[in-house]
Amino acid sequence: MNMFKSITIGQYLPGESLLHRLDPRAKFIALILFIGTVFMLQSLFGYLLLGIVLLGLLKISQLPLRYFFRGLKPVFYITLFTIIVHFFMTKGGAIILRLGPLTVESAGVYLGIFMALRIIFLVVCTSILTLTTSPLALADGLEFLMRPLAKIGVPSHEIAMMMTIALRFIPTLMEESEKITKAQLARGADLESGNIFRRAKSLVPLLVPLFVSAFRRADDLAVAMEARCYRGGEGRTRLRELQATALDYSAVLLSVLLLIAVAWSQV
Amino acid sequence: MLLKLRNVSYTYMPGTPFEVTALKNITLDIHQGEYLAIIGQTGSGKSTLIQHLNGLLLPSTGEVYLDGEQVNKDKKRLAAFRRRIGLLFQFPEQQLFEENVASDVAFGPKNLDLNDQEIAERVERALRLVGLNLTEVGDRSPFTLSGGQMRRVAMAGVLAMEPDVVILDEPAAGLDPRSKAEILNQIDALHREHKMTVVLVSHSMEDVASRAERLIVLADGEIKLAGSPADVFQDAAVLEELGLALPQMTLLMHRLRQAGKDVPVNIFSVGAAKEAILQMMGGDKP
Repeated sequence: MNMFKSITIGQYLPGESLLHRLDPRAKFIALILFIGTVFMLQSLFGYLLLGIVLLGLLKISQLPLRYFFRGLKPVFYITLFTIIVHFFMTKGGAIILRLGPLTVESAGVYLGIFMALRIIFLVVCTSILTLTTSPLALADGLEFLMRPLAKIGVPSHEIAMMMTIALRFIPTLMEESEKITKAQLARGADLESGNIFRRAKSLVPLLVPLFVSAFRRADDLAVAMEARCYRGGEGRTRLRELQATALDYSAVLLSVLLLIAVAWSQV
Repeated sequence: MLLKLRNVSYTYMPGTPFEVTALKNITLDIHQGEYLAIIGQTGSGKSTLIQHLNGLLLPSTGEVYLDGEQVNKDKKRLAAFRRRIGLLFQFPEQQLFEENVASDVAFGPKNLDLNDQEIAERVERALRLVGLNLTEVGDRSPFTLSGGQMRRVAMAGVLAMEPDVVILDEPAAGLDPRSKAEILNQIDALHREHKMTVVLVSHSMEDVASRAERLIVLADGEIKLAGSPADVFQDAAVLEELGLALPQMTLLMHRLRQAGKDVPVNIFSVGAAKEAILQMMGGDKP
């Protein structure tokens, strides 16, 4: 029953840190630049330096470290899997280890470690963004950044609104699925034993009520939005205008400088 | 003694910034055949407490016993506990999922591995207990019923398991006055005529005062008051502090008493209040 509670990736933690206060647009741009930087790195020494930068950001964000890393647990398994696959499948260079017909070769070790570091860095920096930015601010920032795309017909406001609504309902639906699970357990439902077909069938008593209530909620929400005269993004003003400050510009500038420095060092 | 809770505490999401302690050191006995009401404001821990009574939640610290046997992680035993303790959640109509009413009510008994005839009999009996007729509603989709009927079908779904104890979380919430009275009267009948142990959770004194034999008042995860309705209502000041109002008629009697009239204060319904006031005024029955 605690299946949903362990997933904490990206769940916003309210706070007052410097990173919490940054403009979401600045954070988005900085994140994209940072991801570019991660993909440009070619040396382990570079990853070490960037790792220190990430740890510094974590420190600034004032996120509780234990909570942060516990949320990354599922990613840890994916990373481990990547490493193992690369160790055995990627060939080239000197043979390091021989296990019967399988060999571990140096190119595989090298690539495996690099891939693992990349995955970890990507997930850590994205998690810092979502943990320090409320879903609303995220959607606002995204809408602003997508605005140029409106010229080629991309409905940026509608996409952002859909995202906001989806994010808003994740906890609600989780709560509801937990409640329905418990209600069916109380009626003697067996959700955990049997083969895969039996288990799939045992999900029906959970999925039907969940869909029914999701559709009902969607309906209610649509009516409530229309009752308040919602008619899309055109001419819509906002309650909280995003305001970029010197702090936001310097954050973006720092990310650009980091990217340039890394690019230059690789030449 | 049927159910025993000893120093039960429960914490949600321990070790995270979202940590909340919902129950603190609850010790409680539930006796065979009694009608117990648990009362408290939203967030007082009522729903957390009742989930401990059938093992949906296991205490963070403390113990729960059913007939002297401790409720713990053992899956087989947990299933057996849930079989004996029926739990109806708030807004239970949301848990309906089958194509027709009869198969939805049959979901519980089917999970008990009973034979088809026994299941059919139980479905019929359970629907009758909640005032519905199998031949009338059995083939209808539960989603075409009215809100009050859906709730009763859900209640039948729990009763068809034929538990020893039935726990109901706000069974009358959001219903119109007539459906509300009907459902509460059916619960009374379960207790009176079928000798079931009933635990009713509510935030309304009005609903439970004249029905329950024993009240437990919960606030901030602790038991603040416990006893017969008359005992609990003696502490009007404590109740008010907890944001729980006395039933209107009890309040009226308290006021009359304060105004120097000689009336009993353990009165919970309009009918009883009428009698008491007539007696006070010295008149004979009209």
